[in-house]
Amino acid sequence: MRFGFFCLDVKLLEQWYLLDDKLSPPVYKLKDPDESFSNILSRSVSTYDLNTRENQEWNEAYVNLVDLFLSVLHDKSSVKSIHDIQLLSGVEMLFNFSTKLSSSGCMCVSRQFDGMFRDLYNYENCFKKTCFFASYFCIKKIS
Amino acid sequence: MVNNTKKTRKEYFNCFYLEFDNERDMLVNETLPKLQQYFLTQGIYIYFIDWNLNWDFDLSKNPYHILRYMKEIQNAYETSTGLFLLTFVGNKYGQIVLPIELSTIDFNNIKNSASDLEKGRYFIFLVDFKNEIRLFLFRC
Repeated sequence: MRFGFFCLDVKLLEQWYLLDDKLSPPVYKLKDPDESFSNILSRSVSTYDLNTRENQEWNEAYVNLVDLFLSVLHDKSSVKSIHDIQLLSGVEMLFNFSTKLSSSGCMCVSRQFDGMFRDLYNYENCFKKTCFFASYFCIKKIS
Repeated sequence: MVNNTKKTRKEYFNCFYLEFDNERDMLVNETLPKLQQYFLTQGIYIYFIDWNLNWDFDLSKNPYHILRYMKEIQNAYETSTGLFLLTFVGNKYGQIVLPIELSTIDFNNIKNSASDLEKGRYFIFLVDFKNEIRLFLFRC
C-alpha cells in the first residue's frame, strides 16, 4: 500500500501494450514479461542479481499497470465506454475456466479465518461469488 | 468412481501462492503417495501439479503464465479422468491478472480515461482515530 501523491502512468500502457495489426481486427497485445526480462525466470546463483533486478522492474510496471486499470474501471464516467475487461485474480480465472470445462471435475475448499486481513480490492464482490460456487461444488461433491 | 478406460489422473492445485503452504505440503508429501499406491493397484497413475511449488514470487503477475495454466488444465480435462482441479480459497484474493489483449477501442478508451484521471492527482493519507486507522483518498 502506498501513501502520498501518485499518478497514473499512461506511457507505461503504451510501452507494454503494442498494436498487433497483423490480426484482424487489430488488437493491442501485452508484451510477454518473460521475453522482455530474459532473466526473470532464471534462478541460478550466477543470475541472482539480474533476476532480482528484473523482478523488481517488472513488479513496479505490474503494480502501476494494475493501478491504471483499476482506477479507470472504478471511475464511473469511463466504465460505460470500456467493454469486456474483467480484472480477476489468477485463482478465480482458473476456477472459472475449469468450471466451464466441467463443473463436476472441480473441487473447491473454502478456508477462511475470521478477523484476518482481507484484500481490499474486489474481495467482497468477487469472492462472495466464488465462495458461492465453491460451497455449491463442495456440497455437490459430498452429496 | 474411477473410469478405468483412462489411465491417468491429473489434479491441479489452484490457490494464492502466499497461502496454504501447509496444505500443499501435506497433499504432496502425505496424501499423494498414499493415493498413488492405492490407485496403482487399479492401473491408474495419479499426478498432483502444484504450480506454486518452488517459486518465490507470484507467477500470476504474468498473464501468459495463466494462459499456459489454462492450456494445461484443458489438457488434464481431456486426457485424464475424474477430478482435475482442486482450488483452495483463503483470506486473500490474490494478484489481479492483466488483460493480454485489448481491442483498439478499449485501449484508446483506457488511455483517454487514464489521461483524464492523470490530470487530477490523488492524495492518500492515514489518520489514527483512537487506535482506529482510517484511509482517505482525495482527488485534487
